[in-house]
Amino acid sequence: MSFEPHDARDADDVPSHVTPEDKRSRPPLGDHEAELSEPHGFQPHESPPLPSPPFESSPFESSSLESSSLESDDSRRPTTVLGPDGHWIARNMDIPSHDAGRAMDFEPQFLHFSSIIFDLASHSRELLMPVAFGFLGAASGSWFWGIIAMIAFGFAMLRTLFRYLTLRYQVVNGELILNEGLIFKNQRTVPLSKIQNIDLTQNVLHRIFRVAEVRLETASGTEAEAVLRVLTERQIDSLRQAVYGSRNHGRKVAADSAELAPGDQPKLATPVGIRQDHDLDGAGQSSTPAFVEPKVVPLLQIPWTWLVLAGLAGNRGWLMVGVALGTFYQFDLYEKLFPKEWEQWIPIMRLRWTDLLDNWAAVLLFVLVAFGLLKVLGIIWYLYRFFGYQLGRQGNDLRVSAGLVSRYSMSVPQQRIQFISIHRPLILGWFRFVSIRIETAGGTGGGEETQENLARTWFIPVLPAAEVPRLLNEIRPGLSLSEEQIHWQGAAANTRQRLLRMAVVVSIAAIAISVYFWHVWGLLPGGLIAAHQVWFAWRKSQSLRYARTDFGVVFRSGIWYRKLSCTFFDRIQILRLSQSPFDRRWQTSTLVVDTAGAGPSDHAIEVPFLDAQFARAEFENLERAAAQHRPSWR
Amino acid sequence: MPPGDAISNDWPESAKPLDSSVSDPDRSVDQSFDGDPNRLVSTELDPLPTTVAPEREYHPLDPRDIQVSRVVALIISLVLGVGSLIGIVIGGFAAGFSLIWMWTAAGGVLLLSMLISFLFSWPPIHHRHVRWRMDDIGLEIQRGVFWKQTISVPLARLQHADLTQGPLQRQWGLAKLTVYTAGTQHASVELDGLAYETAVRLRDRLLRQQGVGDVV
Repeated sequence: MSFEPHDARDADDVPSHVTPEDKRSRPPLGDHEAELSEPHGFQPHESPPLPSPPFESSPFESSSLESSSLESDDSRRPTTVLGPDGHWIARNMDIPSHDAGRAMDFEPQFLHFSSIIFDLASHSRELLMPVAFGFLGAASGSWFWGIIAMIAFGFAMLRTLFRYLTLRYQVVNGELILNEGLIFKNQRTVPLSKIQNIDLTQNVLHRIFRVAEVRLETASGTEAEAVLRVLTERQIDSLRQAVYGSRNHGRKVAADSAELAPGDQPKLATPVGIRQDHDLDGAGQSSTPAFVEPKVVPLLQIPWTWLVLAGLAGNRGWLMVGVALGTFYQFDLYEKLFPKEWEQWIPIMRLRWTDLLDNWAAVLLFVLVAFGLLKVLGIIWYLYRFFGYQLGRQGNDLRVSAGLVSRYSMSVPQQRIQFISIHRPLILGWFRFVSIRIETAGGTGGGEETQENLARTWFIPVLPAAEVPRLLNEIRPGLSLSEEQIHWQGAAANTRQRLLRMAVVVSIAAIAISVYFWHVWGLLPGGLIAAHQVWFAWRKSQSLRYARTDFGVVFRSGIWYRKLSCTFFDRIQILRLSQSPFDRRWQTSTLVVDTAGAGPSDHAIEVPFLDAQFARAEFENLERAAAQHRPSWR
Repeated sequence: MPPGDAISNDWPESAKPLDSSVSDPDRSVDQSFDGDPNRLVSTELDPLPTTVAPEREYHPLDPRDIQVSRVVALIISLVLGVGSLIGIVIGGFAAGFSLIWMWTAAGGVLLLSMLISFLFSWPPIHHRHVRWRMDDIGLEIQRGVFWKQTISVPLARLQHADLTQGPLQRQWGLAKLTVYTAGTQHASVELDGLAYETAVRLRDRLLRQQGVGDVV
C-alpha cells in the first residue's frame, strides 16, 4: 500500500477555492468557546471560523475520502439503493454527489433538550442519598439536611446543564465528531465505518418525549465510544443514515430508513453486524433473503474418560472448594447443619482443629482425604461443564456445545479468531493431553458474556496432543504449530546467568529467613527453596521461545504449565517494546504483541529477555507485517 | 491564531521535521518563507509526488510542552509552599518556636525545595526522552527516561481518536492526542504535548489512512 496524504491531494487536485471550505468543515477544538460565550457579550480575541453548512463542502470531502482509500478497497462499486420515493436508483457512494453528501453530513447539533432530564435521571443514584436526607431532615424539622440536599441537587443540575450546553456532535466527512467540555476540551473523532453497533434504549419516559438514548460502539474496549443521551428520532435517523451510508460495501442504504416507532420494543439493540443487515436498514424495508442453514460437520467429541482425566490432572477442585466454603460461611451452614447441642451425642464433633494437629496420623489421613475430595470435585466440575462436548463446523462458524445439566452452545465465526493458545499442564502433559483456548474479538452484543467467556477460555477443554494438528487446521486452515518445524528464537544468551543471579539472591534471603526462624532446621526448607529457585531459573531461560512464522507470531513459555500461543499479522493491534534499567544493563528487551480480546487465554504475548538488537529488528519487522496485512473480513 | 486554518493544507513535509515547521510559527515564518506571512510552509515543499517516500524520521514533542509543564510545576510549588509555610507558622505558634520546630521546619523546607527543583528540572528531561514518528507503517512513539518503551500502532488498526486540550495547553497552542485500537492491554495510546496543528493533522492522517471497513 502506498501512502498518499489526502490533504496534499486536495491541494493538488481540487480547485483552489474549495480547500478553505474543506478545512473549515472540520470544527476546530476551540469552536465552542466562541459560540457559547456569545450570549454573554464576550467576543474572543480570535474567533475561529464557524463550520460551514455541510452540503457546501461535502462533495469535496467525499473526494478526499475517496482519494485516501482508493487503492485499499476494491469493493466500492456503484450500488443500487432504494430512493426516498421508493424507486430503485443507482448511486455510487464514492463519486461525490450532492445528495449523498447532504444525506450523510450534518451540522453540529446539541442533544435534545430533554437530555437534561435524562442525564439527571441517570445520576439519580448519586442524588438519592442527599434527597432522602433532605426529606428526613425536613420531616424532623431541621433544615440543615434540606439545604445540603438542595446544594447537591444544584451541583448535579449545573453539571448536567454544563454537559448539555457543551456537548455537540456532528458528522463531517464520514466521521462522527463529538465536542465536549469548555475548560478541558475534548474532541472525539470516530470514523463512521468503524461503528459496529448502534444501540438504542427507549423506556416509557423516552417515549413520551419521542427520544432515545443512543450508544455507538466500535471494536475498541468494552464501553460505548459515544453515548448520546438523548436524541430525537429525527436525529437518530440522520445518524443512522450517515453510519449506513458509510458502510458502502455493496450494502443497501435505505434512504427512508425506519422511523423509531413509539410502539417499538423498549430496548432496541440494532447490531450493525455482519449478518443482520436487514435489522439496520429498517424493519420492513428490505426483505430477508431465504437463509439456508449449512449442515454441521462434526469435528470433535470429548468422551467422559478424557474429562475424568482432565479433572484428575487439573486443579479445578480448588475452585469448587472455594465456592463451597463461600456458601458455607455466607449462610452459616455449619451452625445450621450441625447445631452445637448435637455434640453430646456425636463425639467427633467435640474434636477441635487443635486436637487434630497433635496427631500426625490424623493429619496425614485428613490431607489424603482432602486431596481425594479435591480431585473428585475437579472431575465433577469438568463433567458438569463439558459432558457431551461437541465441536463442529457450520459453514464458516465453529460450533461448540457442552454441559451436563444446562447445555451451552456457542458459535465462533472463524474470521473472528484473534489468538490461539495451547495449554499443557504438567500432569495432563504426562498423558499427552492438552487444551486449546481461543480468543475472539468483540461480543455479539448478547448478554451471556460469562458463558461466552467460558466457551472461549475452554474452547477445547481437553484433547490428545496427537489431535492438535488436525483441529488447528480446522480452526484456521493451513495453520501448523508443530514445535519442531518452527524456527525458534530463544532468550538472550546471558539470560541464564541473569536469572541465576536473581535466584541466588532470593535463595540467600530465603535461607537467612528460615534459619532465623528454625535455626539449623531452617536449612532444610531454605535449601529446598534455593534448589528450586536455581533449577527454575535454569529451566526458565531455556523454556522461553519466540518465533515469527509466515502467518504471525508464536510464543511459548512455562515450565510446569507449558503454554504455546500464536496470533496473526492481521490481528496485531499494537506492538510494544519495553526496556527496564535492568534490561538495559543486560542488553535485552521485552516484546509485547497486543491483540483484541487478549484476556481469556491467560497467555498474553509478552516475550521477555530478548536480545535488544534482535527485539528492535523484530519490532520493526512486525510493524511492517502488521501494516501490510490489513485485516480483511466480510 | 485560529487552529488548523492556514497551515493544515500542507501535511506531508517530508523534507522538514514537522515540529520545527509548525510548532513555532514565528520561527517558521522567519526561516522558511520571506514573503507572505500567512503562509507558514517552507519553500522547499515541491508539488507533491503521488507516493511519498516513507519518512522514518523522529519528531520531538513541541518544546512549548516544557513551558506548560513548568507552569504546572509552578502552581504545584506555590500550593505546596504556601501550605507548608502556613503549616510551619501554625506549628510554631501551637508547639512553641523550639529547637525541634526549627529542625523540622528546616527539614521540611529542604525536602520541599528538592521536590520543587525536581519538578522544574524534570520537564526538559522528559521532553528529551519522548519522540514519535508517523509514516506509511503507522504511528510509533518512544518514551520513558528510566523504563523505556516503544509503542507502535500499525495503520488501519485505529478505531477512533480523541484530541484534548486543557486551559494551559490551549494558551500555549498544545494538545493531547489519544488513539484507540481494539487491543486489550493497550487499547489507547496517548501522545501529550503536541502542537495543536500537528495533533490535528496527525489524527486526520491516522484516521483517513485506513480504508473503509472495520478491523475486528
